[in-house]
Amino acid sequence: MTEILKAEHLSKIYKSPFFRINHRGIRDVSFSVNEGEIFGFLGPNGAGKTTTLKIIVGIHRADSGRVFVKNIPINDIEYKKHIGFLPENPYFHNYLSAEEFLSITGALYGLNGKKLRERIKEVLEKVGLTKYELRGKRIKNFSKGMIQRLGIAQAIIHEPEIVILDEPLSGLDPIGRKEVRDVILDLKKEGKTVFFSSHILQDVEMICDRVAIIADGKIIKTGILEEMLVKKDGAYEVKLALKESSSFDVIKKFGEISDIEGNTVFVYVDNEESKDKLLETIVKDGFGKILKVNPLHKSLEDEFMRLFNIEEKNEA
Amino acid sequence: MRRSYYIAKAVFLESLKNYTLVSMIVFGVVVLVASLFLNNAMLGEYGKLVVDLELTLPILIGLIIIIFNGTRLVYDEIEKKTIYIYASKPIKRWEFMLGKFLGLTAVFLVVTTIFAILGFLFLMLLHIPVKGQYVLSLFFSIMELMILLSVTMFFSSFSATPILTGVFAFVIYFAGHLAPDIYQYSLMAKNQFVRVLVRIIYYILPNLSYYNITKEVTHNISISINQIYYVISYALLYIVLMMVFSILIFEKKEF
Repeated sequence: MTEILKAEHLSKIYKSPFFRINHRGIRDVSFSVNEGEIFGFLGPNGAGKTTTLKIIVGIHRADSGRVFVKNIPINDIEYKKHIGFLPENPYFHNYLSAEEFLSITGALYGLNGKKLRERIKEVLEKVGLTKYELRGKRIKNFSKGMIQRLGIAQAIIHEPEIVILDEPLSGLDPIGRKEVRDVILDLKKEGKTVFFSSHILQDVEMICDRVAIIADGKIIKTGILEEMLVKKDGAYEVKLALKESSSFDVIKKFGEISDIEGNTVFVYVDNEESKDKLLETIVKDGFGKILKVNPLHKSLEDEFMRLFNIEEKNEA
Repeated sequence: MRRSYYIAKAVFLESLKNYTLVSMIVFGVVVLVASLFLNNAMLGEYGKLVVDLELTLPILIGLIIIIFNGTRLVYDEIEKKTIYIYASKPIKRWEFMLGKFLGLTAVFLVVTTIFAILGFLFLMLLHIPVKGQYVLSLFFSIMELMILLSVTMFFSSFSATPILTGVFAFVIYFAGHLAPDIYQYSLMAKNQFVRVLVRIIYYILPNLSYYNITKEVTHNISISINQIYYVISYALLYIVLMMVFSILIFEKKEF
C-alpha cells in the first residue's frame, strides 16, 4: 500500500494572547493514510480531531511536526492541489448559487471555461444535487443536506487524490446520512482516498477501512478496523439444542447461559479453551446437538471505550 | 494575482446579489430626483447644489457600503468559517485579502460610474455645463473610498467586532477630512509634547481633504497636474501600507 498522507509528530498548543495560558491542543500525533482507503479519524469532542484536521489542510500551523501529501510538504502550495476539504458545519456565501460558488472554487485550482462548466455539472451530478431545482436558487435557501453535498462538491471539484471530511454526516437526517455515506463510498470506488473524521462510531464502523483513535490530544490506537473488531478477547456464543434441561448444570461449568428458547440454549463462553471443552462434553456425553458457534465481535464502541478507559486511567 | 481576482469576483457577486449595490443606487437616484424640487428655492444656486450633490453621493454611498459591508468583509469569513474553505485551497492569505479589497473597490467603481453617467444626463437635462474637474472629482472619490477601505481592512484584521471597526472607520473618515486643521493646530500648540503628538497623528491619519475638490469643481478652479500626481501617489502609498499591515496581521491569525 502506498502512503498518500503522512503526519509526523504533530504538536499544537493554543496560547491565550493576554494571560499566556496554554490550552491543550495535540501532542506528538503521527499517522499515515494509504492510497484508496477510507481512513476514519475518531475521537470524543475536544480530543483534537479538528485541530489535527486544521493542521493537515493548512488552516493552522503546527508548533512542531511535518505533514506530507504524496511526499509534498504542507508549506508547498502544490500540496493543496492534491487535497479537498469539507469543514464541519460548512457555511458558504449565502447569496450565490451553487454553480457560482463552484465556479469560484474551481477557478482557484486553475479550472476555467468549458472544462470548468463541465466539471461543475459532473460534481453536482455526483453529489446528487441535480435532483433538486438549483436554477437561480441561492445557497441560503439550501437545506442542511444540500449544503453538505455542496460542501463535498467543492472539495472534489479539482479531482483531488485525497478528500478530507470533517464530520460530514453530522446534523443530517437518516436519509441524508445514507445518501452522503453513499457519496463517500462512491469516491472510494473511484479510487479516491477519504480521510473521514467523526465522533459517531457507527458511521466509522460502516464505511472505514482503517482508523486512528485520538483522545486527549494523543493518538491512542491506529489499525485496520476489521482487526480491531475481532473476537471479544476470544469470547464465543454457542447455540445448543439440548435433550434435557438437567444438562444445564454441566454447561454452566464452561460458560454462562445467556438465553433459553425451548430446548435451544445460548451459552456465552469467554475463552477458547472453555469453548472446546464445552463442545467436547456435549458431543461425547450426548447432551444434544451443536447448532452454531459464533466468535463474538466487539463493536467499535466497545473498543473505543476500552481504549478510552485505559487512557483515562493512565492519565490519572 | 489571478486567484485574487476570483475572490474579488465572489465579493462583487455577493454585493450585487444581496441588493447592497442596487439599494444604494436606488437611494442615490431618489436623492437626485428629490433635488429637482429644490430648483425654485435655490435662487440661481441650483446648478452648484446639483453638482455638489452628485459629487457627494458616491462618497456617501461608498461610506455606507464600507460601514455595512467593508467592516464585515474579513470578520464574516472568520466568524462563519467560510475562511476554512479558502484556507484549504491553493490561495495565499495575501491573495485572499487583496481579492477582498479589489472586490469592494469594484463595487465603488460601479457605483461611481453609474452616478457619473446619471450625473451627466442630469446636468445636460438642466443645461448645466459639465467640466473636466467633475470627472476628476469622481476619480478622487474612488481613491478616497479605497483609502478608507484599506484602513477598514486594517482595523478589521485585529478588531473584535465589525461595530468597533465601523466606529474606527467613521472616526478616521472625519479625522481624515480635518487633517489640514490638525496640521494647523500642531503649528499653534504651545506645549512641545502636544505639538509633536499632534504632528504624529497628522502624519498617521490619511489626509482625505486632498480628495475633496468639490470647491474647485463648482468654482471652476483648475488643478495642476503635479497636484493630481501627488494625490494619486499619496493614495497608492497609503493603500499599500495599510494592506501590507493588514496582511501581516492576517498571516499570523489562527481561525
